[in-house]
Amino acid sequence: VSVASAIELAELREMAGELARRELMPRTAALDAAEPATLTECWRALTAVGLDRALLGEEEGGPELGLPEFLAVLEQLAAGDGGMALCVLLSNAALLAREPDRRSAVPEGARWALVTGRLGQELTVCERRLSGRIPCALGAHEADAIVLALHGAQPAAILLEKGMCGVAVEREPAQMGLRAAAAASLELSDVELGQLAVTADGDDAGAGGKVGGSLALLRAGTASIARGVTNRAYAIALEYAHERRQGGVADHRTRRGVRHAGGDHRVAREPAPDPRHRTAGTCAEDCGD
Amino acid sequence: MVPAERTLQEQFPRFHNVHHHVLALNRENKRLRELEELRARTARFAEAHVRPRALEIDRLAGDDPRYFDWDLVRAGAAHGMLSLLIPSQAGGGGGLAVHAAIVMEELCAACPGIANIFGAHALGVCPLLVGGPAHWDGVPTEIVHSERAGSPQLMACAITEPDAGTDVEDPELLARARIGSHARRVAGGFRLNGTKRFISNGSVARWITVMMPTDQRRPADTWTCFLVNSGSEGFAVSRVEHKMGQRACPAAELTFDDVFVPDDLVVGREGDGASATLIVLAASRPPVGAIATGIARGAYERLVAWLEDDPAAKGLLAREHVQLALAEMEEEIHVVRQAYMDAATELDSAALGGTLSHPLVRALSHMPSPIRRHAPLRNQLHSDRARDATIALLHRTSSERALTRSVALSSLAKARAADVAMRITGAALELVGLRAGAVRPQLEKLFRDAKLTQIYEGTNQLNRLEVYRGLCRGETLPCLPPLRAAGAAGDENRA
Repeated sequence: VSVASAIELAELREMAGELARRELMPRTAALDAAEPATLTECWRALTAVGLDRALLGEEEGGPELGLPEFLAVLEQLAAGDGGMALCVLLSNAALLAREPDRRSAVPEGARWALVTGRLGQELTVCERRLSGRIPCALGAHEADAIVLALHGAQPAAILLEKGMCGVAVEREPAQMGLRAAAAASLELSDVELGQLAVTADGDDAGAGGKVGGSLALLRAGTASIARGVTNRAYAIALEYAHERRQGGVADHRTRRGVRHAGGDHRVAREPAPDPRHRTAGTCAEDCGD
Repeated sequence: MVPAERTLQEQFPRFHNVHHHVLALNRENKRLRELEELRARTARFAEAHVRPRALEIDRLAGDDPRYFDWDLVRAGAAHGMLSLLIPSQAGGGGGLAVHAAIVMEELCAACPGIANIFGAHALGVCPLLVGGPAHWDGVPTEIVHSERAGSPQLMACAITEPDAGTDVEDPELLARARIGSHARRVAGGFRLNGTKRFISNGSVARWITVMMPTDQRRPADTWTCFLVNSGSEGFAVSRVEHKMGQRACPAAELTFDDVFVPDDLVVGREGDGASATLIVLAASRPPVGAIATGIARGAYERLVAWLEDDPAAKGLLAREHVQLALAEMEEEIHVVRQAYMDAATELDSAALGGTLSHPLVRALSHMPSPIRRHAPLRNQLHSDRARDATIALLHRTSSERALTRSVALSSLAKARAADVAMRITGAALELVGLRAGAVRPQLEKLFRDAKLTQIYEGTNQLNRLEVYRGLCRGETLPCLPPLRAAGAAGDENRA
C-alpha cells in the first residue's frame, strides 16, 4: 500500500476492496473454520502490502496510514472477512502500545494481538508479579506476541512473547463469529513484570496515553469492521432480492415490504437527510429502478 | 377500515370452555393437572438427557452435519416423545397443539436443536392426523410400536423446494410459485420426482410426508400430500446442510427420482394439499412459538443463574439497569407464552374442537384397533367416499373463518415469540460479556438457535401478512378442502 499524499481515500478503499475480494472472499469458509494454512496464507497476503504495521512510518517499515485511511481499509477488509480484519486491527493496536524505538524490531509479518485486562478483577499484581486469567482473548491464539493492555487507575502495557515462562495460551473451544481471529484464554502465573512492561506501570506519563490510544483505536476499528460486515450483508441481501422469485416474479419488484426493508437498511448504514426519502431514493436506487 | 368489535371470547379464546359448559371448571382443572404432569415429565427428561449434552452435540453436528444422536431419540422415546400427537386409538398420547407446545417450551429451554428432532417428527405426523381416520392406523401404529420396542422411527415433513420456500405455505403464492417437483399418476399410485430442501429430520426419518403437485401448471389446485418410505427405490438424501443453529436436528436436501407411492399412502384427497398445509401450519406454529419462548426462557434462566452465582458477576444484580433488563425479559417471556397458548387453545377448542368431539370420531376412537385394521373396514376408511366424508365432517364441525383466525393467531404467536427469543438471547449475551466463562458458549448457542425461529415455518414477514389478513382485515382463507360429490375426483383420475 502506497500512502503518497496524492492517493485519495476513495482509491485506497478501492484497493483494499480489491484485496478483500481477491484474497479473502474466496476463502471465507476456510477462514470461518480457522484453517491454519488459510489463515497463514491470507495473513501473508495482507502483510505483503504492509497492513501488519499500517500505522507505522516508513522508517519503522510501515506505510504510515492516517487513522481515517486505516479505518477505511479495515471496513473494506471486513467485507471480505471480519475475522481477518480484526487480526489486522489487533496487530496494529498492539504495535501502537509498543515503545516507538522498539517497534522497528518487530519482525515483518509477525502477527501481534492486543488483549485488554483489568487489574484487581481478572489480574492481580503481587511483588511485581502478575497472575490471573483472561478468557476469550480474540486473536490471541497462535499470535506471535500479545500486548496486554491493563486499564484502570494505573494503565500499563505488557509484552507477552510466544512460549514465555508463566504464560499459558489455550484456544477457546467455542467461538461464534470472527473465527479467523481465533480466541484463546490466557493463564498468567507469577509473570515477572520487571523486564516485560512495554511502558512503566503508571510512573511513566506516556503509559496512560499509549494504552488509551490503543484502546481508542480498538473501538474505532471495531466500528469500522462492524460497518464492513453490515455492507457485505446488505450487498448479499440485495443480490438475493434481485435473484429471488416469489410467485414467479422478482421479490424487489413486487414486494413493497422488501423494498422498504432495503430502504431502512440503507438509511441505517448511511443516514439520508430526510428519512421520508428512504424508499423513493435509496432503495429504488439500489434496486435499480 | 375499522376492525369489527371483538367479544371477550375472541380476545381470550380460553374462555370458550369456561363459558359454555357447566362442568367446564372441573374439566379444566383435570386438563390442567394432565398438562402439568406432561410439563413436569418433559422437564425431567430435559434435565436428565437434553441439557447435559446440548453443547457437545451442537459441536459434533457443527463439525459434521451428518452427525445424529440416536441415543437421545431412544431416551426421548422412552418418555413418549414420538407418540405424543398420535391418536389414542392408535396407541399414542392423543396430544393436541397445546400438548405439543408445552413439551416444546420445556425441551427448548434445555436445547432447541434436540427439541427440534421431536418437533420435526411431530410436523411429519400432523398431515396424517389432518388426513382423517384412514391414516391413524398404519404408520402411526408402527411408530408407537417401534417406540415401545426401543427402536424408534422418526418422521419428517417435506414442503420447501429449492425455488419455493415461503410460496408453498400460502395458497395465493402457491398458485404462482415455481414448483420443480411433480407427482405423476401411474397404475395403483403415483411416481414422485423433484427435490425438497431444508427438510428437518430428512436424512434420518423413516417416513416422510411429502407435498407435491400432480399438475405443475396448477400447483395450488393439485397440491397433494404423499406418505413416503425413505427406503423406497429412487429416494435419496443428496445433501445435509451446515447449520448455524439447532444443529442437533439435521436439515437435508431430498431427491425423488420416480419414487412410487401407492394409492393408500396418498394422505387425504388428491388436490387437498394446500388447505391441509394451512391446517398443519395452524397446528405447528404455536409449538414454534413455544420453541422460541423456550429459547428465551433458557437464556433468561442461565443469565439469572450466572448473575446470582458467578463471582465474575458480583454486584451486577444490585444495579438498577440490570434489574430492569431482567424484569423486561420476564414480561416478554410471559406475554409470548400467553400468545402461543392462546393460539394452541384456539385451534384445539374453537377451530377443531367440534371435529374432535364429534360422536363419529369418538366412536372410531372406541373401536378396537384390530377391527379398524380388518380389511373390509380398512378399505372402507381408505375409500374416496370416506375421504369425502372426512372433509364433509370438517365443514360441518368447523369453518374456514375459524381456521383462518386460528392460522392468524398461530402466526402472531410464532412471529412475536421468535423476535423475543432473538432479543432476549442477544440482551443476555450483552449483559454477560465476552469473558463470562462457561455460560457464554451456552448463550451463544441459544442466540444461534433463536435465529432459525424467525425463518422456518414461514418467515416472520409471511406470518405477519397472515396476521394482517386473518385478524386486521378479517379475511377468510380457503382452509378447508372443497366439498365434492363422493369419489368424484379420485374416480375421475383413476379412470
